[in-house]
Amino acid sequence: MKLLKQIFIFGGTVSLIFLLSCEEETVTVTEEVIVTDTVTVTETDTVTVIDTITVIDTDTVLIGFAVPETYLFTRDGDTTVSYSGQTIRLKMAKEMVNALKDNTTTIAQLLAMFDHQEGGSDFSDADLNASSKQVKNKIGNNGTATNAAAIRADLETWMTNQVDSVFPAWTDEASKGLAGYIQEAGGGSTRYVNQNGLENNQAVNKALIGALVADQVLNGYLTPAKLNSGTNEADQAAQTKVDGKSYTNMEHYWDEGYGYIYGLAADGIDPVTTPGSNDIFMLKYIGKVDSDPDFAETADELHRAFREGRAAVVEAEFEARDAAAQHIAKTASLVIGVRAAHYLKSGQIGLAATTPDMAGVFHDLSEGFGFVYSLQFTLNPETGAPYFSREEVMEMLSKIYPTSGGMRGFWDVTQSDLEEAATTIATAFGFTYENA
Amino acid sequence: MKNNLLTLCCFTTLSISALFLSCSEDDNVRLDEGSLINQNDFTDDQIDGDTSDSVDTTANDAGVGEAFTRGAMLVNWADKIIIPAFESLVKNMDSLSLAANEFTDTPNQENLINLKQSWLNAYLAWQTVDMFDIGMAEEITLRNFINVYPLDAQGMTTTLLAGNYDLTSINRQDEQGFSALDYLLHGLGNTDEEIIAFYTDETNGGKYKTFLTDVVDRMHSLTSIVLADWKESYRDEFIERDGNAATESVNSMVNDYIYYYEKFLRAGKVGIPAGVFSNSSLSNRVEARYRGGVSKELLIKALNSVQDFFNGVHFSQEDSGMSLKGWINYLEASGSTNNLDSLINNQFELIHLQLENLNLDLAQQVEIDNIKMLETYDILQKNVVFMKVDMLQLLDITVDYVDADGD
Repeated sequence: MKLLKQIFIFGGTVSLIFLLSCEEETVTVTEEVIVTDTVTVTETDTVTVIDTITVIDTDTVLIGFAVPETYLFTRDGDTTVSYSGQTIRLKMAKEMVNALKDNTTTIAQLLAMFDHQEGGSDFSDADLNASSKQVKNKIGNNGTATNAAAIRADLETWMTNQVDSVFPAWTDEASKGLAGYIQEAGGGSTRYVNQNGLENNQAVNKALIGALVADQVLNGYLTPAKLNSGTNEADQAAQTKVDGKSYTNMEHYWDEGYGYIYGLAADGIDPVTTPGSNDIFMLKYIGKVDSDPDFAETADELHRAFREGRAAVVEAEFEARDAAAQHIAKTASLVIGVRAAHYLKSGQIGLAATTPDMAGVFHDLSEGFGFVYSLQFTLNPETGAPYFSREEVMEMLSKIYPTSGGMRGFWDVTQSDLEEAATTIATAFGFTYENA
Repeated sequence: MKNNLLTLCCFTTLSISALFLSCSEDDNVRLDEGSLINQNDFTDDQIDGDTSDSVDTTANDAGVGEAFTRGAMLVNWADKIIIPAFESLVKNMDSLSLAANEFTDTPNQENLINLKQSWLNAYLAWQTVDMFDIGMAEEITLRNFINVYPLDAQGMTTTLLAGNYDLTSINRQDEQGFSALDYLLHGLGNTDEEIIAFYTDETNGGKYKTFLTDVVDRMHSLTSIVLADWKESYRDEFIERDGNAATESVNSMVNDYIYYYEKFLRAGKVGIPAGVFSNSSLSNRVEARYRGGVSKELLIKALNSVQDFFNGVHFSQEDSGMSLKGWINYLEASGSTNNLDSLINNQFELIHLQLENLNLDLAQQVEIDNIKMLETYDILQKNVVFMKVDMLQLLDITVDYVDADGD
């Protein structure tokens, strides 16, 4: 038992360093840990654990500092948490996505929502119009400039296709090669698809989960490069606040990352308990993944890592901070991977029916298309690279949404192509097609 | 269906609010709801009286003490319940076709009244087969072409007037079937004269007649196809697949049965109109809304059919055979007894008792006193828990369906 305590892990080997790195202070935590892999830890002894073991440990473990139960951080009685800019961008993105479902929207209106300028009357919400914030300049801007331009162009292409092809066909029945409406079975929802069966609004919505949210959080705010920029490390050690603010620069960066995921939660302090239903991006799908028994506790695990990292920032425990950030990267990336595989699998199952409900299939595959697109913005903490590169993502999309050689996208995709893509994704994240 | 089963539930009444706190965006399976209910909060003396027209299930304990076999149960289901029910439905469809032809030949009040009665008879007969979404019925998605409601009346009218429609398209599923006939026979005007005028109209009368005929013909033909398939081939396949794997007949049928009870009886006929899945009640979501006054009768027919199936009561009502009830008895006799079958049957009786409190027109009930509808939903929900959790656990059957995302 004593040895096991030394190799206590939360979810991945990355946290190991984090747990063993702090030796002075102690707090009591209760954790249930399931070790499924072979783990070798070298400390004073070499310990090898093989097989699945469940450890319930209520002993004292060393984590260096206290982690609050909720995202509540204060200094001298004032909250130090602020992410209003992220909430505003999420609201802008949401209005833009919703406008794609209104066939009276013009392309000029959509593009103005995308690259909003302060004071422009682009949104229904006056606070958004008055804001200097913008969605477009935060899209894919943590990779190369070439990719960022291509990613923004992708989003604009889908929006343009929606306005140019789908809106004029709003009252036409969709068919292979022709845009229009198509209704789900049993008098279900009506979907509006392009000539290849794609719902552009779903492509944009789900792509933003990667291109805006995951990219800003995993490849932006929570990276050591960003957190340590300028004199942030020294400022944090000295608890030097930003002029006129209650927080330090580093604390604020961490919170801005937090805000991209939790900025539309009904309760931003305890969004695991009270997520609400305003979010249509990452938070919504954290909830969906969490409700799958195969991925239970995902929501809790992700939020705990945010709290651990934030507490580590306050204490200037940078190794622990980075371990938490890596844990966040792994978990948030997993959410995208699970949903991508899930929707491709749903589409495959739908196609297998004797009387396929094509509107349902198109809807699933359109969501899947956006999640697959988002894979290029994930971050594998073990490699420092995304789980799938942009090139790999575009290759996969050409399989599940084939448009070359006269192929008509989702009208022509095969079950085996969907299963293969979903399996490839599942394997990369360490789950199976059955789990998806 | 996804978007029809909407969002959060907010109720002011304390006594029911606890039940609905867990309502989610989708019409999710909320097994936890039932666990909030004290399963012993009713007593035997609450369930006396003539509460249903079902066969007395305590008098005939078919299956008790006999060796249970899946095969015997499947034979009883196929030969004594399912096929006779489809035969009855198709007979009713024959009459409906005849009445529709008479009406379109001579659109007068006598023929309209006759057609309305044939429609109601067939609609009641439909309630006895709706749960059997297996075999050919599942393959052609019979239910989606026969009884989607609410009707898209505006879409149907556009389709009808445009002509050149394709009723086999999924886009047209909410523009045909019983709800389309409901509108065409009761909803076009306030009086029979006003309704008949649509069929005698010089400009569009022909289109109305043609569409009416096409809708009836399609219902007649689809139900006939399913019956023929049962008799010619599926019956044998159904009873031969008597293993306990997920894809075998018993597991499939039991899943279809519970799915029907949960989604189409509990939610469709009661929960959705009562607003359980939306922010407010939706009285216009009841079955047969244009006819009015028959939605409770349709619900009772459906409920009796579900209860009879559980007890193995023959369609003829004259006898009963191997059933879920008999299977439960058989298993409980060899294990720890907890009288699950009595629990389920008692709950059916409580539902019947509650239905006595409801208006013949469930839409009116929603508008006048929706609390009674919500209570009905709660009582129906208890049997979801008894059957989907307790019964399936005892029978070692896995639930084979999941709920859609709802977005």
